[in-house]
This record gives sequence, C-alpha cells and structure tokens, in this order.
Amino acid sequence: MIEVSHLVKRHGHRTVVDDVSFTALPGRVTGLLGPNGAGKSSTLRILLGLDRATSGVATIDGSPYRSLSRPLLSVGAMLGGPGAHAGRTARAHLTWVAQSNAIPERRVDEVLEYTGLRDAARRRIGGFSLGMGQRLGIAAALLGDPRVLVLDEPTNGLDPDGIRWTRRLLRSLADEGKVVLVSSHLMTEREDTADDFVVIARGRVVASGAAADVTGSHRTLEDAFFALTDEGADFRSTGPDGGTR
Amino acid sequence: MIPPIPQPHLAHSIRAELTKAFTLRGIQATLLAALVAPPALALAAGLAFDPSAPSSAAFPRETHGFETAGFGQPLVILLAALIAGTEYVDGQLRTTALATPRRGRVLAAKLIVIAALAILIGLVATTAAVLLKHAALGERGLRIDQFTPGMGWNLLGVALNYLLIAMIAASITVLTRTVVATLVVLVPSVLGLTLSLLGFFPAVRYLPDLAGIQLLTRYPGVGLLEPVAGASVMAGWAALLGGAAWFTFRRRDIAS
Repeated sequence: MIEVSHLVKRHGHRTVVDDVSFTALPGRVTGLLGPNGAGKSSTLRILLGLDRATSGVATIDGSPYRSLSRPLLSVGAMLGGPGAHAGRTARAHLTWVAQSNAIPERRVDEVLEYTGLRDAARRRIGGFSLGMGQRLGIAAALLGDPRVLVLDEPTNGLDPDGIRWTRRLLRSLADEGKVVLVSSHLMTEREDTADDFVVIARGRVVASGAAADVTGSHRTLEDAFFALTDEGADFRSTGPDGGTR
Repeated sequence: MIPPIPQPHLAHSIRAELTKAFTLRGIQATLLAALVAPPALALAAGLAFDPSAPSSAAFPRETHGFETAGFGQPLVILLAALIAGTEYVDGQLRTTALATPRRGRVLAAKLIVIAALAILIGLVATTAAVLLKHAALGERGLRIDQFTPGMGWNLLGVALNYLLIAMIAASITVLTRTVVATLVVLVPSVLGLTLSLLGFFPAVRYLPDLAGIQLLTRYPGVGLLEPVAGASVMAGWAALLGGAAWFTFRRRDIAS
C-alpha cells in the first residue's frame, strides 16, 4: 500500500505540493490526475525518494523509499521516460539495473519478452521509438517483480496501440494484486482504466475516491475533472477560436 | 560468536557500475586509447630516438618511457569524466537513484570503479611504454635486469597520479553535472597550459595538475614541488573536491 500523508514541497516561496494526502491500495489501479504543473510528478518524485519533502511523509508498505536497500523488489517505477542512456543497448541497460539490486539476470530476458522488446534487446536505445522507450521503462520497473508500481504519464505521446497495451498491462498487474499508481493529465485516458482517483490541482488534492465519488453531481467523470481543476489550473488552454477559456 | 554482517549491497552497486562503464562505446574507446596510446608513443619515440640530438644526453636512461605518462593523463581524465558524467545524460541518474536510493553507496561504487581503472591504466600502460621504449632503444636503453628501483617508484607514482587526477575529474563532474566543465578545466591544464604559466606565477605549482606532475616524470629546475610534497598537495585537492562532491550528491534533488 502507498500512503502519502500531508506532503508539502516548497521551492523557495513557491509551494508545488500543498498538504497532499492519499492512499493507493493493492489490487486497484489508482489514477493520480491533474493538469500539467499541478504537482503530480513532484508528489511521485518525493514518494520515490528522488526529491526531499519540505514536510509530510510518503511510505510504501510502511517504509520510506530511501530506507529500502533493494527497492526494485518492492517498487517498480517509471518517471518521465525510461531514464536510460541512449548509447546503451536495452539489454545492457536492464542488466545494470538488475545487478544493482541483485536481481537474477534471467529476469532481463523475461521482462524483455513480457514487454515485447525481445527483438530490440541488442539495439541501442537512441534508436528506439517513444513507445519502445516507454516499454523499456516499464520493463525496468517490472525487473524485481514488485508489489507496487508507480508510473508517471506512461501513455504520454503513445499511439492508440501503445495506449491500449499500457491500459491492459496496468489492469492485469492490478488483477494480480499489485498496487498500481499511475498519473495522467488526461482524464479520458484514465476513466476506463482506473478504479480509484486522486485529482490534484495547484498542488492540492481537490477530490479523491472511486469514480462515482469523484463524479458527484457532474454528468461525467471528465466534466467533474474540468470543473474541479478549472479553478486550480495554472495555465488556461487556448480554445479553438484563439481566445482563452 | 555473531558472524560478521556481510555487506553485499556495495558489491552489487560496484557490479552495476562496472556494467555501466563497459557498455558505452565512448567509455570503451577511451579506456582502450588510454591503455594503447602511451606504449605506442613510447615505441615510436624509441624507434625515432636520435642520440646525436643535444637534449638526448641530458635525458637520464631510467626515465625512458615515463615521458609518455603525460599523454595518458588526459585520457584518464576523460574516462573518469565520462563514467561520472554519463549519469547526467538521458535521465540515467533518475534510474540510478531509483535502483539505489542510498546516494553515498552509488557514489562510492562509482569512485571505486574509476579508481581501479585509473590505477590499472597507470600500471599497465606505463609498464608497456617503458618496456617498449627500452626494447626499441636497444643498446642505448636498459636491459630488464638493469632496471632500477627508482623506475619501480616512478611506476607507482604514475598510478598514484592517475588515481588522484581521476578522483579530481570525477568530483568536478559530479559537482557541475557535466563532462564539459571537467574537460575545459583539466585537459588544457595537463597538456601544458599551467606549466607554461609557472615562470610568471610560481603559485600555480600548487594547482592540482602541477602539484603531482613530478609523479609522472621529472621536470628538474623549473620550481615544481617535489614528488612526495606534490602528491600530498594533489591528494589534498582530491579530498577537498571529493568531499564537496559527496556532500552535494547526497543532498541534491535529482533534476527531472
């Protein structure tokens, strides 16, 4: 289980995460939703020990990420792409990641197979398409067969096939009983994928719960999303008429 | 009796760092060049040696081959900078930090790998350079049974210099998060920029590259620090920069 409790992150006077609390449960896909710049990534970065919180606590099965000595056995994560040097082959990248956590190297072949990258294993990552890069990131996240998965915008920039593949994967992982926490700035993309929702705008949680709870009196979940985040959005999108909404 | 607690996690990190180092072409090529360039230069210099040239008489026989250590040094700097600096490319450091959230362990493993490679290059390339130079010199060089203890010390001096310059290069790279700064600062220095300034500003002899330069080969009469004193000053620089890198690396947020 992921527990985030009263998380705050300030950069100087700017508060990017403002008292964020939520939980993500085993066997369920939890969607962390909000406009770009709402604080989703910052929250996930703190959860995964990349950034330090100004205050508050984020734990995975009761432990802060930084206290895990072989974290990949507990948590698999992808943030902002695969985080893999373009000059290395997919296999070389996964090999060093596996070695760092004393994961048997046969797992490298298993996750390559599982994510459909077997034929690309010996190719350099610099030549990968966006979708292959996302698959590589997911392959690395699955190396340690973790109980918890944290994926930041895993479908960003993917073609429809890639999006469908990712959705099915997330669903099957949750069905295995894993905790799946996935962020997105697109509501429609998550509506039929996630079980629980946490909606963030301007660093604060504005709604959370199952789809029905978040939808409330709005017609659809998407309407609710825009109504909830509209007040909080930092940047107005430009409408088709060229004016701002 | 309680058995000693094994610490396999640093070993795992070292293994991962070795794989990282040996699976990038740029690093492979640099390592190969650092091993091959000094012996190749020594061989060429030995074959082209002109005993009638005025400088050759002043050249002590037992220093033959060691003069090429200065050419290996920029390659050692490049190697250290690449191993440390490729973390800051393509978001790799994020993956590194996710795999090993104990930042100190990551940096320790990386510095151990860099140190081991620097020492290996110093010992292997310099030994090969000295052997080839003397073999090429034939009558004018030394036979192996004529090699002196001083040459042994000189060999260790090269290894120590490479170790320290590699630690300095890696530390600057971690502090600046790019290989470029390291190369711009260090490579012109070791290729003679600071040495050429020595006559005008004697204090430059305390700079990291000049302090330990006589570990590589002797430059008599130009006012440099003696090898042991120089090595101490260079080690001081390595400790200072290494400490700063350690402190920064452990505290800094990972840039997205």
